[in-house]
Amino acid sequence: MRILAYIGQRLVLLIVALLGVSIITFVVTRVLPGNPAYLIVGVQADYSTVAAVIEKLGLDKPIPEQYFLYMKQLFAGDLGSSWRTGNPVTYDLKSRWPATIELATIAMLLAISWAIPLGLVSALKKRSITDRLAKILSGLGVSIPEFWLATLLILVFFAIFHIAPAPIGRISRASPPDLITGMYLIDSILTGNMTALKASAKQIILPAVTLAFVIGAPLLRVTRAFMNEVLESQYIRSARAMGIPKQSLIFRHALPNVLLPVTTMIAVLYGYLLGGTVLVEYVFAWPGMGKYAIDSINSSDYAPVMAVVLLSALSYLIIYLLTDLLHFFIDPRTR
Amino acid sequence: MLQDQLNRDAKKSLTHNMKWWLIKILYTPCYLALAIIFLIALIGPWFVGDPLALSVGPRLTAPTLASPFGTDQYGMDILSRVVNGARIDLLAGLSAAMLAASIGMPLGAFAAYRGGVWDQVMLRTSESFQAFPVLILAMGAIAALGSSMLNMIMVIALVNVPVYIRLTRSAVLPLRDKDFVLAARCAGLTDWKILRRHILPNVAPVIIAQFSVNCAWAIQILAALSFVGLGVKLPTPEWGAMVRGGSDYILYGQWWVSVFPGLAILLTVLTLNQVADRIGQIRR
Repeated sequence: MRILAYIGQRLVLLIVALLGVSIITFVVTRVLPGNPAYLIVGVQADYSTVAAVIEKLGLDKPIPEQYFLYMKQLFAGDLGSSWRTGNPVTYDLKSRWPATIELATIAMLLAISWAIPLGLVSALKKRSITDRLAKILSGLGVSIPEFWLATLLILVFFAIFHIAPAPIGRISRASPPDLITGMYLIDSILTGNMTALKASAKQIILPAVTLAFVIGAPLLRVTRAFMNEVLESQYIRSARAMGIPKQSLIFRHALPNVLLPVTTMIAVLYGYLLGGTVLVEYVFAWPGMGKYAIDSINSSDYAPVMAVVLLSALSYLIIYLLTDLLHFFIDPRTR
Repeated sequence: MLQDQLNRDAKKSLTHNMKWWLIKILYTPCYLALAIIFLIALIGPWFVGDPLALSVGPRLTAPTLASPFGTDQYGMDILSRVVNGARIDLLAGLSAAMLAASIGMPLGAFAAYRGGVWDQVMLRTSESFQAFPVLILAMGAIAALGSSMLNMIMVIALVNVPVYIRLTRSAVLPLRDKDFVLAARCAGLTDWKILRRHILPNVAPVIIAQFSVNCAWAIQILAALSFVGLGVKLPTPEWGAMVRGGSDYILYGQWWVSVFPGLAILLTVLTLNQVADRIGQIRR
């Protein structure tokens, strides 16, 4: 019963947060200086054309009414249309959203697979070479500009050693698989298309590694810090005094307590990734949401930008909610 | 007589303090590195050539003794540009972090100190902000407002404000009901005075550490904005713009145009982050 109350409470908070998000995007698009009508018709248009567009967009109405109309449009699933591509934004997002999710997921999995083991080992073996390495890597990962790291990887693996393919998007020298989910890797496995699988796997490695390095750093830090804290705690000391073997000490007593902050961190990072692959997508010409946003910004096409912002904010909030619910099952204390 | 003695003591302790600071800076690698970076930004430009001087001779030359970092596609000397870039990037980073702190800190302290509705509103707003893809939001705002340096500093500061609100709030909250605060309130001090004189000094280390991290972050955002072509435009020696300028040549193996300015960003940001870690350790 308590879990239902908890879910209810969190859903109310989610709605409040979403309301906040919609107000902010509304303010940025509609209220900030700069008349969107001029962006549509151009600065040289005559007065009557501008007036007609203003009326069509509802810009002459009072701001609360404009907000109401804007919300009505959002609830109808209408995110406007992009004049750069000539499509409704929802149509454009159908191919780009999976591309970003695919990249973010692969990057997250890579980050988890290097950062968490390294963090645990470095906490267990303090002042060892592994610990030093972990410190250096996490310091670098937090500080390195990801667009520069991406550029360096292209330099080393494409320009010098010719191992990686050219940074030109999701697939090269093969035709994309038949689309089911929109994620090339999954779709090519589902359709048994091995050439497409190989080609798209090659394309995703460098951007995913770039993101995994950058995202792994904070994950490593959190894992290391909390493992340290747990290892110094009273209950681990008592467990050790009771002669519990080291293996079960680490895996049964210490690890579950580290899991909580680490899963939170993973959720925060994954939520961040869904809107934060912009720079890497830009460098690798990855046709995802980030590149869509940048291309749209560069041609003053605002509907797609706001759609991307809204969608990533929404997915961040939902991921955060899911993690909190997950904690309900991981951590008996919250029940 | 006594006055003289006091003055002398004060002077002595001042020089003593300065000596102590100097030793501390020299023996802590990250402080030393930060000092060197600031020194480069301050006086470096006088020692290197004109960052905008176009060369009529060979362009895109690899590093040599005459130009240790090579030249870019317009024949401009990269060393000179990287050194001059330090001024622009550091100045922008510092001003953005300062602006963000000066807005976010009072708001956060006020929210925590007053509690109630204000606190909830502030907390929820800054939480909603956290859900946003900061970079895309900043890009959109810059594109709408125009990419002058002032606009960029303002936008970068604005996206950093929520961080300060939350940080100051969480630092002030446990202090609110401490005895010394109650005592100050009993003595009839105004809320503003209590915040300024009794609470803020106690949260200063956290804020200073955050300030350093924030500077680093501001520099990263500025460089990223310039890298995607929305921020500083090319002849200006800004690090992100320079990485962008060289990114086309990377494909052909001409690495020096992008690598050196990127390295400058990395070293500066790394140093600022290390300084923040260091300050955080002192607190504990």
